[in-house]
Amino acid sequence: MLAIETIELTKVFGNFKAVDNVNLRVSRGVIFGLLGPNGAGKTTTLRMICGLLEPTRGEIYVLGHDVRRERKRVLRFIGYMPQRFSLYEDLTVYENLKFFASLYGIRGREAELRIRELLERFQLREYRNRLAGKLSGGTKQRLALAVALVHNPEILILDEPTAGVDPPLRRTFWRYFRELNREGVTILVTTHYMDEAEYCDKLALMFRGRIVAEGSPSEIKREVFGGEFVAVTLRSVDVQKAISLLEKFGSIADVESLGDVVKVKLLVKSAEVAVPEVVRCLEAQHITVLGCSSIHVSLEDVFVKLVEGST
Amino acid sequence: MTLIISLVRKELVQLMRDKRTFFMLFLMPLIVMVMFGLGYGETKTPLPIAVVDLDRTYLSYMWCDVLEETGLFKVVAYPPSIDIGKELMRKGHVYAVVVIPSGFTAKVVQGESCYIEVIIDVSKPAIADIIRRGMAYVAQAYVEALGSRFNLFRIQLQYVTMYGPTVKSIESFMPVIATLLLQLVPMSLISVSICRERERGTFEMLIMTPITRYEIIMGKLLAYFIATLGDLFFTLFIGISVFDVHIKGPITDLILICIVFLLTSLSIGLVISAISRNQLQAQQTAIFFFIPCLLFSGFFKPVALFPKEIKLISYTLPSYYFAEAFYKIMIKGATLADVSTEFTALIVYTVTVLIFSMFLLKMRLE
Repeated sequence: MLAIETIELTKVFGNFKAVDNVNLRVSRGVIFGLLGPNGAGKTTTLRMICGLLEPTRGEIYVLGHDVRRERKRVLRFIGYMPQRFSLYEDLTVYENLKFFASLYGIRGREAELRIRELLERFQLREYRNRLAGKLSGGTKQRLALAVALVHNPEILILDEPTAGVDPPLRRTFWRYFRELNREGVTILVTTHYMDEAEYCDKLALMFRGRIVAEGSPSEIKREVFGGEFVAVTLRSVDVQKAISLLEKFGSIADVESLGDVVKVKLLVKSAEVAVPEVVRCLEAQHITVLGCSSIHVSLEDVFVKLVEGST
Repeated sequence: MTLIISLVRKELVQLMRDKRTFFMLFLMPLIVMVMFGLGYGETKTPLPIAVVDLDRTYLSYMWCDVLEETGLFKVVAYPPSIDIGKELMRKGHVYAVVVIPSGFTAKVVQGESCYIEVIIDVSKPAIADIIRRGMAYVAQAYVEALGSRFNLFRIQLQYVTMYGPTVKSIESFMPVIATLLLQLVPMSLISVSICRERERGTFEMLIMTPITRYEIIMGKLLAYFIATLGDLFFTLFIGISVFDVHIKGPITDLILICIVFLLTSLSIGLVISAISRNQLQAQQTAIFFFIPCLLFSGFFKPVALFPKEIKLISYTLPSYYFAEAFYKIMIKGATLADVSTEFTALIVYTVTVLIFSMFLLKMRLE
């Protein structure tokens, strides 16, 4: 059973298609990243999954339950952290946690234990009695995460949890997410930070309401560029001979000369397979291989390539 | 039920931390009462009037003396003709012109009936009303004075001034004050409660929990009811202790009708909150709703005197029923049984409006 599944999900505002035929399949136990620039339709998609917005068309299932028909039931599985800080600013950290816990029927000693655990986990103990409105941006986000987890949800839906958060704290956040994921929580997270997407098990790239690419980060890169890149560094004297040998492994993307050294950029099906074979083949022909490794392609490159045509 | 209690507790904490609400709840009654007390309290400012004396004899002078002795009026001018008198009124120097016809003294001495014309500015209905009542009082005093001196005629007074000058002004205004404080304050307070959550984004988190619309409505209603209940007692307390307002009927019955009306106002506020997009819109709607209540509930003019169509408007307003019941209990000494019609009307109103608000509350964003 999938944690979240959407089928031809569409949302139209007036004559603007915010979400267009989106099919998401989020397996249980993964960190699924929904990636895209601002205005791509990520928030609208999440809100429909949470049952906060009525879809114009399409179906949504959370752990096999139809969100539109069984919203009450589905809500217990989902912990949600909206993009905008949405807790009561005139209540303290503790009061916010206590209130939301009570709405899920967690009260008394059970609630106290759960709240203490969350305060500890997200380093909120010293802010326990401070008004939520008086907290700094990062602390607010930590509180929002704590509240989203107050009822021990199986699925965590996070809308731009790290927007406007400074880099060290962003890393801390991702540490929390991986920890939670290890404990079995399925996470659906949106972001427009491409570097964060590398942490996800699975990704969907969204652009103008549509999913333009889907898969694991490396799958997406391979799909978009038609393979992976390997850089082979050689002495200049060997270049002619080497290129003809290298063409057997894939296509030559680029040849760069750096004094008496040349760097050949090679596009192969799988870098993992190609690297040792390239080295063995060249050395068999007595060519000195100065270096051979896969090139890291950032998702940003992928994204730029994907949307190049449409902008 | 437990979810409702959680919500009530949260709302009350929020209300207590909000200075503006605190001001509305506890200073508003005091300010409104003081304003009415100062403006309509016991110390009456005499109304300036003009007397056109076409008779100019002994008994017409006496009429003028009686006018001033009541303390209600002060004759500021004796214009020589009706037209000049009217001109004075048009310019706003006087509120009324009393015309004593020529031959007045002769007629009174002969025991004939005679007329005194009073020209009133009807554009100020509240003042016109005071003048009408005042003139009746003056006429009575005049006849009494004459009767004792000359023993000419004995008039058994048919005009019974039950509430007129014998009721303190602040008392006659208590239904208005009570309606103002028990309708406008609770209604405008609660009318922002749900849309403030929408505006601040907290509604998004709230409806992600298993709470139902029934629980949201009941929770908000209960919380604001507790908060404004203090307001109700505070108002009555100030009225009785500071302004010495006398309540003829049983006070428990009066409190009961106030409580029901408080719930009515809160329910209306909830409907407004459920359909408004933001706080500003809600506040405006609340005030917009309050205007017909103020105009057509019988504060400026008894509802019985309205044309048929306007009466229909009055009958749809909860404040009409409340003002009627309040007036009957406080001034006429009625009990709850005597005002059962009004009481029932308010309860039916409240329940209907509450059900409406539950249907209107969208458990979605936008």
